[in-house]
Amino acid sequence: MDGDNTMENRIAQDTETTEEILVAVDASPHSLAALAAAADLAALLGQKLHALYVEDINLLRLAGLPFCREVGSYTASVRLLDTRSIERTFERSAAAIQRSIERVTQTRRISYTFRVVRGGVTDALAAASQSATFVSLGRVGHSPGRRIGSTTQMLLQRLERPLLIASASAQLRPPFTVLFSGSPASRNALQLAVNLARKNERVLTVWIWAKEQSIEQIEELLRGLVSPLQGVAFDGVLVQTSDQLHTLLAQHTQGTLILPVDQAEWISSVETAVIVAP
Amino acid sequence: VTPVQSLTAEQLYRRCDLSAHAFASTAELEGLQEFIGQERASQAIDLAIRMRRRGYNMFALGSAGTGKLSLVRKRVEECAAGEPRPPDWCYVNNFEHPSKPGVLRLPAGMGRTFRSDMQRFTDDLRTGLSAAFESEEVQVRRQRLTEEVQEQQQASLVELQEKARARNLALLRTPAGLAFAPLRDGNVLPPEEFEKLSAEDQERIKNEVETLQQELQRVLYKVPGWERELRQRMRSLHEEVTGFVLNDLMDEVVKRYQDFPQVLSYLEAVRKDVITHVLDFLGGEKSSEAESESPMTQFLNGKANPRRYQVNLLVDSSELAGAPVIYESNPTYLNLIGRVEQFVQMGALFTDFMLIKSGCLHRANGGYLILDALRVLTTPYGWEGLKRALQFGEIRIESPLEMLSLTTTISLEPEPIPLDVKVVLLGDRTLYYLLSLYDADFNELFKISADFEDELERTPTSELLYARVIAEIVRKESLRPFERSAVERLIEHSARIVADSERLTTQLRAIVDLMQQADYWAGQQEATTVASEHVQQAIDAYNRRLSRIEEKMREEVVRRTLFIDTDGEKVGQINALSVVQMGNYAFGHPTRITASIRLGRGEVVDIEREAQMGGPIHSKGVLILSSFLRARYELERPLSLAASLVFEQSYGGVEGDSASSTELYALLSAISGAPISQSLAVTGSVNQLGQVQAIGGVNEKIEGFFDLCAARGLNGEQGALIPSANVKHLMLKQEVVEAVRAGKFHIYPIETIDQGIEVLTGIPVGERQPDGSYPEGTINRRVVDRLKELAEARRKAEAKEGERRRKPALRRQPRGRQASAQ
Repeated sequence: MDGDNTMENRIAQDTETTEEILVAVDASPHSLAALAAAADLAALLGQKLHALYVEDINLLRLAGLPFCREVGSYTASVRLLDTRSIERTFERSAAAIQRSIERVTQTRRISYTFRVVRGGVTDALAAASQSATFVSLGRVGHSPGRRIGSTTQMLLQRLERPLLIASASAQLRPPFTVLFSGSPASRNALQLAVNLARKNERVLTVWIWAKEQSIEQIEELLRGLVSPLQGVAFDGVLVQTSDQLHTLLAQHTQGTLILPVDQAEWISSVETAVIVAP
Repeated sequence: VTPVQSLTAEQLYRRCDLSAHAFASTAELEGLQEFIGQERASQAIDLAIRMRRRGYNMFALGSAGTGKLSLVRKRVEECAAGEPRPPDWCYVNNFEHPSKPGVLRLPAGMGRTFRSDMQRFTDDLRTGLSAAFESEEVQVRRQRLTEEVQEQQQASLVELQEKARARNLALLRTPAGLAFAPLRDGNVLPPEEFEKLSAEDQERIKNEVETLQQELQRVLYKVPGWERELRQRMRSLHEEVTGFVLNDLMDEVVKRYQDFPQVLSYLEAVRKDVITHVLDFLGGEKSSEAESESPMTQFLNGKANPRRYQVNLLVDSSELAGAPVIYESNPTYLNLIGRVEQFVQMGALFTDFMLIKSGCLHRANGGYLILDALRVLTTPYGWEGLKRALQFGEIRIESPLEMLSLTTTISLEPEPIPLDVKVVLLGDRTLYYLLSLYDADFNELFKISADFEDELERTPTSELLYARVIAEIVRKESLRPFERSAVERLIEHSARIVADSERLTTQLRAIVDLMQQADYWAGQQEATTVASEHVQQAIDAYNRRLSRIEEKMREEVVRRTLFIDTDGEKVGQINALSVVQMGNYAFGHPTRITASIRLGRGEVVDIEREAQMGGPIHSKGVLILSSFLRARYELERPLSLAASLVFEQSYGGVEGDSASSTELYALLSAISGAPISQSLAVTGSVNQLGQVQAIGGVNEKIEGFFDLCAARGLNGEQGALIPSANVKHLMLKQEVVEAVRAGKFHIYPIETIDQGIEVLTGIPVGERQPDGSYPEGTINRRVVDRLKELAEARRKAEAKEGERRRKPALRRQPRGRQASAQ
């Protein structure tokens, strides 16, 4: 990471907390949604918000190469790229993000820090996520033709913190639903879901993912649920086929879904906000 | 000259006697619902109803209160009950031209069914479509289609990415697009490092990037085509799914309307429209959203209105028993023709076919429409609208503002509805004659006139029928039963209303009013039936209410502010009878007429005319009496008198010739010097032959003079001279009849001037002898003698004057010309 120019941080609330939620922002509408979702989560968990804007170093380098051209994603017209305009884009974005953060945190009365770093986006995020309890990202990244951004995909590949994926139409909302498959990640997901459900006192829905499993295996699965769900109101749904899960996902239009990272492939089938647990 | 006999009490008032019919009160009398005396109008109405041709609409003309509406309505309703119900009319959306809603004609009662069928169809369609589009099959197929295209795009990009990676290049997202850049250790090669590369390497990278850029461009060029294809495939998927849901629902409706090609073609249009607009009706949530959206928002979003398949049942004949009969009491243009209502949405006016409202022409279509002519004519564009609808045989809804191009908001031009209606206009005669004279269309459109009689002949038969009409009114108005005497009194009053003892009025409104008031007085006296006293009381109270001015004038005569003598004798002075009309009320009032004569050349000066206070008929009367004088007395020598006639103390205008005989009497008295009895009053017009002719208002005139005499005290000499042609019109009040019976008041029917002057002066008039002279002492002799004296005096005067003029003429030549100019 070169050119680490940190912006000063501000505290909007008296209560100081060391735990923070990292949100990666650029000026896109989806990342602003991620910002709002992260702010909601911070308010829910009583944590600080840490917003990070990565000025993509690769773009600057690209602009520095004399022969490189930008091909318009819609019109396919070829244009010259220059360093100045990229810099200006970065500055504009940072200012817009600053305004958004102020708006978002003011209404929720949470404190925040905002850093702008220059470097590789994934690396910078991975580094920053070390000190965070959660990472929040926008639903659609910049990779063309995909519903999950390349950054999200990269992060999922080396996930260490729970990842919140939200969009303008899919904000962090109760009730919470968790997919439990018995894997270590799904146990983490369940724990996370229980914590969130406790915070807002809503019934938790647990989809017990038992594809092609024997009765004994299912019993084993259910046993694994007993102690984490102690004292939580929940509904359990046994899901045994992919079609069944497809239907459940299609009907899941409200609330937030918590997936273990080993089941992250379902993200693209979900309309609501998603939290992926490591 | 035949001496004049004064009239007997019986001749002054024709009693009604129903004693031949055994009934004590109207309770025992069968009511008569028929209208009496209106045979002419009745026949006209029947013809108008039966003539089934265009233009045979009817105008019922007659005075107010003759029962035009009741009779027309009764006849029309009787006829309509046996006629078939008209069809239902529905307005439906025109999907191709929404501003021109279409019209559907369905048998009576079927409109409602169609409306609910279409409502159910819309509801079922919405539910069916939501279910279909939310079904797993459709969802999956939609997703698959989207994914296919996405995958296609992605695959191309991935392929490109792979190619790039093989050349150690990366595909990067830039603020507004995509770009390729050389990589080193997973990151873009910094420019300064690039500079360090060998020229060949630089050139190679540059070429590779360019090649890939071109490939990327090719891929991106394909994207719009893929998207278009996706939309097309989505559309055909939607059509397939919609068709599946729609066909079933539509077949259900179509089955029921096989016999109505119009409906079938509408349903076909609906079918096409649903497929085009399917997305606007989709989904439970979405559709309720669409409904709550304002039409403005829908309009701006280009969305289809969810009401578009509803049916506006404009005319619903399902509850009619026969053809409709509509009486519209407020025939404004909009109430006649119907309207397109609008509502305001965010400052703009909006409307659609559901806001078309019917007018009374729609509701009366296939039946009858009764309207008040004056009201139609006095509402703006009402008459024009009605005529146009009748002329073209269709109802075309147009706002009057649009007709005047005063409005430019979005509006509708609904398809016109064929009109088959019989219109009956009610109005008075003046209106009818004005319209037929000045409105060329009127005679084309209203070919039948039903002329209502104001009176009917009074015979024993008609009296009984009249009594039964009275009985019917008692029943309808819930009045106390009228005793026979009360019925008789009412019939007598009916004759008095038309001022004719041989006729009865057909203006039943006046009779009904009187009956209601008599019933009130009976109630005041706690009577269970209405007696003749109550009727009389009602008449008296009515007269009393209106007689303020009459009483004031009489009072002024009694107080001798206005000079009217009612006893003694005077030369050249006479009491004339006149009548004053104040609205609905008329009263008689005597006026003094005086005549004065002097030497002259035969001119009779009508001072009223000189002062421009006399009307043309009055002047004509005076000219007639002058020519009577000339004809009778100017046989041997020219009349050598000048006379002036004046209505004393008359401050308003004088009109009518009913005083011409009176003026002649005054003139004869003035010439002959025979005094006229001031106890008598006179009315009647005169012709050149000296015959006395009928006048109007005879009852009021006599009563007016009688009231004055009675106020001063009857002396037994007093009376009135009336034309004998007016005797049949006498329906005098009881006080007069009783005074005549007691010999205290006299009414003389006069045929000629000679009879009249004899009654007035008590001197025989004298018949012309074979030698041309009149017997000594007669009126005529006195007149002739006086005229001779005047002629002699004139001759002398002229001789003297002639002499006086001739002398100066010797001295001055131009004198003669001056004289002739005088």
